[in-house]
Amino acid sequence: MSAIRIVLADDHEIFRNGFNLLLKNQQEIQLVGEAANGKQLICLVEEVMPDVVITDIQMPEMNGIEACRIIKKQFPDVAVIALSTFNDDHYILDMLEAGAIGYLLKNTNRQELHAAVHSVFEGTPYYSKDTSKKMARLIAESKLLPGRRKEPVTFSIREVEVMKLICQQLTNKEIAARLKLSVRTVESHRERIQEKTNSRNIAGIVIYALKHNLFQL
Amino acid sequence: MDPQETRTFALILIVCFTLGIIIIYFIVSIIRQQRRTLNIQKSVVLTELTAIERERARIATDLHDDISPVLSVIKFQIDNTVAATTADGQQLQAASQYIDEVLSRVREISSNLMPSSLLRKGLHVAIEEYLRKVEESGLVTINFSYDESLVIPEAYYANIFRIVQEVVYNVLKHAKATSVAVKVSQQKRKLVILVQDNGIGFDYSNTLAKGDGFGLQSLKNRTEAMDGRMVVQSKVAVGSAFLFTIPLKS
Repeated sequence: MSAIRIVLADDHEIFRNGFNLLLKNQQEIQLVGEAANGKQLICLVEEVMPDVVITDIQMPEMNGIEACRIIKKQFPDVAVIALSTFNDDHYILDMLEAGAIGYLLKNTNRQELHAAVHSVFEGTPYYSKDTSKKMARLIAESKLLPGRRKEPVTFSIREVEVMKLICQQLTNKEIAARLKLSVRTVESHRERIQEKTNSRNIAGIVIYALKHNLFQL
Repeated sequence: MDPQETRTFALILIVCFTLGIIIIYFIVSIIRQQRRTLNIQKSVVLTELTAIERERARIATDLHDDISPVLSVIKFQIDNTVAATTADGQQLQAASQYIDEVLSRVREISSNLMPSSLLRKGLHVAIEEYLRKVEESGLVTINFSYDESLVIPEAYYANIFRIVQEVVYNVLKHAKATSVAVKVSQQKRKLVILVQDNGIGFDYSNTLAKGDGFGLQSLKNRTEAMDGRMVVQSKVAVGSAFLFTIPLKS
């Protein structure tokens, strides 16, 4: 098996040098580049296309959160681990929202780092011992769905009416007549519902309405 | 009344009137002057408080940026050292654990000096995270509400955060309460902060008069620096309520 290729971003040279110690005498993980801030990190990722990015959060020029967001957008296959001195909720949430699937504290050790790199390389999230307790609570409080924050979807009364009529197989024209609206307005309601329910077509809307008890058979 | 008397009377009236005006003028000037001095004092207090917070933020950042990474590296170095004997190995392991403890203390101290959430996420998140930490201590249950529509000037953030922190800290330290309610809301153009506990209560005026109310005096100063008012109600064996009303300038 070839080594997992990683890059490290941290604004402290002393830390970057020290980090190398965690990778000594092993072949499974290979450090292929270092960056001192978010901007450098993005260029580096583009250049060397690593498997895993390990990044600090607070850095000059561009922080790790912003860099992670851009990397995940441009190179969705690259896994990102945050490596921070902070273990505050807001940093963890922002980093995971930006697309990181790992979170380690800077007092990590060789075993933990290796476990984290292997885990995220295979697509499984990894959180340090201290962070995972917090994660459990944040998920329980519904502040977080791994990878994406849960935004409660709400519908206006009109949208619910339109949705119910869609479920009853009425056409836009019929719905417009029933609700005394123009066909154009119904169309825009339908588009918004489709967007909110994350559906591609009417079937999606119906499934959503049934699932969420907005319409009963 | 003969004309002579009338003149004298009129003269006396004029003199009295003039004197009256002069006295009123002086009284108004004195009041104005006092108000001006008070306003200057308030703005001096606010400037000083802001300077202190800025300094705290700087120390917190320095601790984080300069101390933590080096400590981490020392830990990596210790972990990477091959021990010659078992005893050496145990010593190295202990040293590594000490560093973990120091790192987590640095995190705590830095967060107490200036919570990063306050700078990054504002007042709501900062208070919420602080209260959660308090609740995690297992000493009290906390009921927190915050009016999302509030628009608070950023210059007040640190001051308001410290007020909540100070009251809650005092409750934990002295009140022997099992539950605390913190409510941050808006009434007309005023920010209203209410902290209520079900603790043993205390004598507010007595504590303040005796001079052991250092915390109370600091709360009062912070509130007055924002032109606000602090009202404390406390009943022995029932609990205390701290109410802060701070005008929000448009």
